[in-house]
Amino acid sequence: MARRTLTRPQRLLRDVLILLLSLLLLYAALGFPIPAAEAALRALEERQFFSGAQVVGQVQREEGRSYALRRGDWYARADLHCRLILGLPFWEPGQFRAAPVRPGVPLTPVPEEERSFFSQPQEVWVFSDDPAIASVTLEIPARLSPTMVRMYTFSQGEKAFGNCFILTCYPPNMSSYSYPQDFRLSGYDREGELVWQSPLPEEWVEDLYVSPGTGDVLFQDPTRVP
Amino acid sequence: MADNFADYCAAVCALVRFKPDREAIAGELTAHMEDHMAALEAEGAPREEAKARAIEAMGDPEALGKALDALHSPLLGWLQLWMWRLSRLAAVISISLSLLLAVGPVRSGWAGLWDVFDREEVLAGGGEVVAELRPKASCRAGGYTVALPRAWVVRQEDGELWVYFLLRAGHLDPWIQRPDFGAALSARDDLGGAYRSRPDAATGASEEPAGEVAAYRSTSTPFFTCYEGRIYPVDPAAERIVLTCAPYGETVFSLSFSLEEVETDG
Repeated sequence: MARRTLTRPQRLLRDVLILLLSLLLLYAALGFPIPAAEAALRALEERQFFSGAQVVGQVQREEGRSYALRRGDWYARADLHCRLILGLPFWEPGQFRAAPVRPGVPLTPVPEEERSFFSQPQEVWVFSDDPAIASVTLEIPARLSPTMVRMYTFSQGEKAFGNCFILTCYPPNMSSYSYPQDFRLSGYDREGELVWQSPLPEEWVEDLYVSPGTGDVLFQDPTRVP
Repeated sequence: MADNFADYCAAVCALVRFKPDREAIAGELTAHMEDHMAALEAEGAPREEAKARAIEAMGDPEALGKALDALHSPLLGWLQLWMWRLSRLAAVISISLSLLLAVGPVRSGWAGLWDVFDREEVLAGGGEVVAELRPKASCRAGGYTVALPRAWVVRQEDGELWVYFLLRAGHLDPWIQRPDFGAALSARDDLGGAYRSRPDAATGASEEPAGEVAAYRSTSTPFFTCYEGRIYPVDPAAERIVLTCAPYGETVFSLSFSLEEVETDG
């Protein structure tokens, strides 16, 4: 059978199809990178079943972008990573952390991730639903030894965006409590007066000495040292 | 008039602007003239006369050249030539990169495609399979079709009943692969026993759980993601389990399946 000779337009069409299929294969091989940050954010929301959230703010970073979201009674932090492919930016969904707004609680913390608070620098996003709160303080104890605890305090007097304070907590070179929920949050007004303070974490009550008179958290009560 | 075929072809091709086609055109013309010359020689004409008559029969080279130039558009010609180069280059790069990138996943993750949670893996931790289930439980959850195609009821060595299950979330959109609901799963049996994956302080749940639910992502592809999980310990008198995902206090999906070894709808 004689081989059918393609006309030039037919060959052009054939080569265009080969090109498109090759690019599609390349796109799949690269893991379907997302070309737009907004699309990557929607994809991350979908994966976390957090679709329909309102973006309340965002922070640009060297490695990508972080969004603050609110959906109903939940705040969330959504991280996107940006990578260059052939010089073009593509976005990947990253970490997602969410926290509920509790009734009667004006400050809602969203830690960076659940890991040892002092293993590396960590951001805690604190959303304030009380307009009177002008600054936020985070206290967390670090255990220096079985008998000694040191309290570390991180403060932020300026909102990063909207109603969100971002506290960057730097690690000291020592061990600590293992869960970020073991910190205490305090909100102060413009005059520095305490507006609201979270209750003492249970671990603190067990391991730390709380002065009955002032309520201050002090070094561990020596009488409780085994 | 040209003295030979090469001179004739050169005169014709000089008017064809698209140079890459000139060689093919010359080849076609030469073949045609050689065929004609051979036919004339077969009729008894001398070689030189046959050659000259074959060339003369082709006509004016200028007119022929202009006609061929009209058929071989430079624009379309260059476009097709570069598209051919680009398509072959893209094909080589994409196939090479695909093979290169496939090596890692084949060795690790994608090998999980064939290493589906099965009876042997369930029994790897010890125990005896009491029932092997193939529930037909499935539902839609956002952009996902969530299904529970396999489950096993296993009696552990200490007598406890554990339920192992395979959960699969299918999605047409590769951008939403790897949904995260492993930590938000809970279960409840038909006796009212609740099984949680974590302390559910967020939803204010206060009842004492009967057991736990644990699930982790085992296989991930662009179009479906699998999770392997277990519910333990399950009340031996329980006949039905409802597996629920409620990450923010509202149910995203709920799958119900029987613990008896018959095919049932979810």
